[in-house]
Amino acid sequence: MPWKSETPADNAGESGRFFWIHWALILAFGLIVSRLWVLQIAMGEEYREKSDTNHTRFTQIPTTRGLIMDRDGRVLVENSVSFELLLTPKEAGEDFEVKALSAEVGRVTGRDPQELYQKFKGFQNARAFEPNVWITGLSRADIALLETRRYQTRGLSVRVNGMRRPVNGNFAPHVIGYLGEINQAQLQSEKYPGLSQGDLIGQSGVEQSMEPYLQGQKGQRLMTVDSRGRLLEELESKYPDPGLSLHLTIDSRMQRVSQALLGERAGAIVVMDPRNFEILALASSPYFNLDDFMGGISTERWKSLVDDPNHPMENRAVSGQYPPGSTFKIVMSISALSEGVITPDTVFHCAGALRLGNHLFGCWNKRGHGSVNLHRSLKESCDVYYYEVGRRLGVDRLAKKARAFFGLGRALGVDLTTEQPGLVPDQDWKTRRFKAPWNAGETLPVSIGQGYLLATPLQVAQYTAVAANGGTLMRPHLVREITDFEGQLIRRVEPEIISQVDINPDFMRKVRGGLEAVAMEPGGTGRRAQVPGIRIAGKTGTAQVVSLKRYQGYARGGRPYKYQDHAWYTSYAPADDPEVVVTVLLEHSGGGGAVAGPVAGKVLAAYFDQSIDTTLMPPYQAQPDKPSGWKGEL
Amino acid sequence: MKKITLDRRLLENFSWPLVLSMLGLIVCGLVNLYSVTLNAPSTGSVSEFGKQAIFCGAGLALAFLAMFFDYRLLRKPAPLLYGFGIALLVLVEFMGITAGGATRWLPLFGVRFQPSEFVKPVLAILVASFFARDDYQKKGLTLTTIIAPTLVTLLPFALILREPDLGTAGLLCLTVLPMFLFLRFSRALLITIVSVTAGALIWVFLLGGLDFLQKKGIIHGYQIDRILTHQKPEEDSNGKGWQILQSKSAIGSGQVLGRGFHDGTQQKYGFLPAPKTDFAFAALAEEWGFVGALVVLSLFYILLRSAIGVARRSKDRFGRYLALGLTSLIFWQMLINVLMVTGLFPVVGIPLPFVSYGGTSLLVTTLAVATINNVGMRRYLFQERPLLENSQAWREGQPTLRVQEKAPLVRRLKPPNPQEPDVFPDYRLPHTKPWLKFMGRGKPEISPPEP
Repeated sequence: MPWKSETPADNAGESGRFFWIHWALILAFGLIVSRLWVLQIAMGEEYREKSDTNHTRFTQIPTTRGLIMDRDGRVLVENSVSFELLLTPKEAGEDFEVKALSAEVGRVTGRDPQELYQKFKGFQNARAFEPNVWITGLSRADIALLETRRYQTRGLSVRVNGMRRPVNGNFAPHVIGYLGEINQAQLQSEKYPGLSQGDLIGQSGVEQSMEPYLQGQKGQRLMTVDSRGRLLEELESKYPDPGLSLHLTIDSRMQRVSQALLGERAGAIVVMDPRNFEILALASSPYFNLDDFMGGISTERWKSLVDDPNHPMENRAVSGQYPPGSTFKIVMSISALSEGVITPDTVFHCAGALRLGNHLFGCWNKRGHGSVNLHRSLKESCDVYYYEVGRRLGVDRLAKKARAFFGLGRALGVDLTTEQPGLVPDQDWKTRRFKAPWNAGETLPVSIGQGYLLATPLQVAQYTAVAANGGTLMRPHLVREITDFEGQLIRRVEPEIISQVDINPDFMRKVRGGLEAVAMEPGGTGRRAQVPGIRIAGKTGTAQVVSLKRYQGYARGGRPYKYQDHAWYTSYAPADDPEVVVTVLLEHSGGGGAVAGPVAGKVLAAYFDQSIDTTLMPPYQAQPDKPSGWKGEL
Repeated sequence: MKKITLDRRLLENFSWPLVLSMLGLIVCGLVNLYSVTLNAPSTGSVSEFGKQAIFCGAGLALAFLAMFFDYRLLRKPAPLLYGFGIALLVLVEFMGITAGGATRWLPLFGVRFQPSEFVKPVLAILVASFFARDDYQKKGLTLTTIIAPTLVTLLPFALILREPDLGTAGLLCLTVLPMFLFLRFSRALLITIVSVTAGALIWVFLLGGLDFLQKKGIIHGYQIDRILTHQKPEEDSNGKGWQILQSKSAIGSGQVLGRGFHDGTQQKYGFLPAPKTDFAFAALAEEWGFVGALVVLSLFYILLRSAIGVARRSKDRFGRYLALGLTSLIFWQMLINVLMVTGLFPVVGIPLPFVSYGGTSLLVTTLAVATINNVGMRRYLFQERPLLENSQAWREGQPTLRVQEKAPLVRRLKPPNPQEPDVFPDYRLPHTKPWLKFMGRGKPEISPPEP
């Protein structure tokens, strides 16, 4: 190399170091290029994706839930909004600026500025970069006032929250139901697609069962944001589809009347149209207030509702299971007639009791009814007659009929998820449940609606309606029509026939004559339900809660509340061409004819006289630490 | 009529690759800056792009002027410049502007001036002037001769470390390191260095010296943090590691061809930290991809290769060391910045020469390249047999810019062939066709004359 070693600049080995310098340079550039290769080519896709998710943001546009209306189109549940004022501490500026801001906002919205400032202090450190809820429950006017001061309200933003607002929180709370945040199990189930954590869904009533219709479809928005999360441009949007509206079969007036008549007593009233099984009123008492659930229920309120010994959250009309008592004699008589076990003219002798083996089964009338045919057995509710019928029919045939033609022992699928099936016992059931054979003596209590037999008030209304319309069982329903947001009809719910009793029409007429006699003829047990000018038919029921032995020691009026009988009265009117079925259950309140009969009569009167209404709905009062209004002991 | 003429050999020795690659880098930097500041709100009357362009013009003009003066003029006032630089650093201590927890800037006519930028090249000049002395050449580095250059390095190092600016302080040491390594080390010195280094490592890592340094305030906690974050950037994706992650996704998302001019989403939407200054390379790699990054790196390679070539061919010891020092200054800045941006080095505030926004840095690096070129241009002044080889040798020491009354009329029947070994036995002319060098057909080797 020509420049080596003879120039004065070179000392020994110096030029040789250029060799190393060149290699060091090549090494350094090799390192950089290989690093760039790794980042840009080997992992380029990954980083491109990372960068894309960095600056695009996906948000959901909330949709509006469908309305719920009664059968006349009156809105029962609507949507409303509440405004929240959000504060981003970092954008609001220095401490003194926030002080001034608090003063101004406090003055405009009528809040305490000092308190607002303290709140700001609270989230200044931990969450300085995110919007924090500063004020909740602002009105539209407040927002307007704040908007006019926009130039001096840095760091503030307004959030609109959709809210479900029942027009009257006391009105049919069990039927309508409330919304709640979706829980983990619901998130994972396939019933609720496209929902995410924090979404509100119906958690009871038709809000829950009609969720897919009411929900609507959320919109989506894809947008570009910068590093501070500010919106720069909108890439694509899908606008939300509002939910469908429900037109219930509920008649507001009947519902109000029923609820008012129940008052503070525990019980249920079902008003149904026997021609198409539309439920006109479904009252359950005690009840809760839907207003509590607006915008999320507080923990202590929820706890007090759940812990209440009277279970105000339970819809007694569809999920309360009671022994149906003597009202079951409707099922018994029709079943026995259709099976040919008896004819209307079959006569049994009632001596006040029936002996089976060494056990004596008593009639309610200790002195006995004497010779009883079908008409008298229904009118005077003779127990011995039905013991005899049950003995001849046998429990298995009875259960088969009750399930097939009266919808007992199974949930027919009314539009409420809490509907209970009740219980119709038979021999199989006994073996499965108790691992013991059926005793012939167990058939007799079942024949008069006691024993293992359980039915909900809705089921009692169902078999009353079957008797009323000549033997047709349909699916009871709460929803009449589903319309879209603009009122366009989407679906009309037609009555769905489940079964038809195979009975001689003459025999059926006799049964209905007997039921009419209960209310209209002298000696009938249900005369207190009479409505002037209308022929009604009905059947009383007094369901024992515990065995006779348990309260033999008590005086007649001195039984403890929980040992008192359930009072039933189920009726339809007009007797010859029925258009309404009314079933009343009053828990632990005594004889059916005496207690439930007048209530049913008033419901029927209200049905036929449009002018009868009640404005005496007991105003709801929040009682956070006590059970809801009802006193318990009567 | 007066005519200004330059010595022809100045132009003959002019290193075109060096200067052209620098111009290329400056253009790349301006294009990148334009993209980055395109929709940024302009502050003041002149946009940042405008400011940088003005600085470019000023830097290039200064560099052009500097080429007319012999670089050896720097040798004598080197201690003076150094003293001035140290004074500025001391002044920073007392009246510096504090920003981001560090006091690094001096107010100068309303703009912020960073004295450490100035000290870096001055230190290189001073150390070069030391090493050009005969005793360094004769004895190499010994226990005694190493003291003075080490001390002059450590003084600004300590001052800059106090600002605190670990990055620049470290860069200072790295800049002079190749100059030290170019000298021969005596055996005693080697043994001393090895034992002192081992002792220091043991003290720091085994005997708790790190805590001691931190307690005394010599090293700051955040500096240690920064090095620790570098090792695990994913653990702290919102804090210090965030910058590295964003920078890596910016570079990576560029892929082969890049997102295109002004389409880099990382820099456009503010995810990339400091896309104008420290992370300019990341913005560039995002928008121009692997290809664009490779172009910039190639320009750097050409620049550094030719600068080292200048040092290698220089026959003046001062010139050689000066060129080496300034080359190493540019090299280390480039290397550290690119490694930092690609996540291989902790985040320290060192800009990418020519590309990053920043007036002082641009001026200093441009002048550094001009000085390197100056060394190369004037290598003809040092010849073995000056009068024989160089008829102009008697002019040594005179300014090369001369004003003639009248251009001398030279007539030759046949122009002398510069490659004729009889005429210029030892003199390597610059390439008349420089690209031939890269195509494997260089000039024929000229063997040196027998001594």
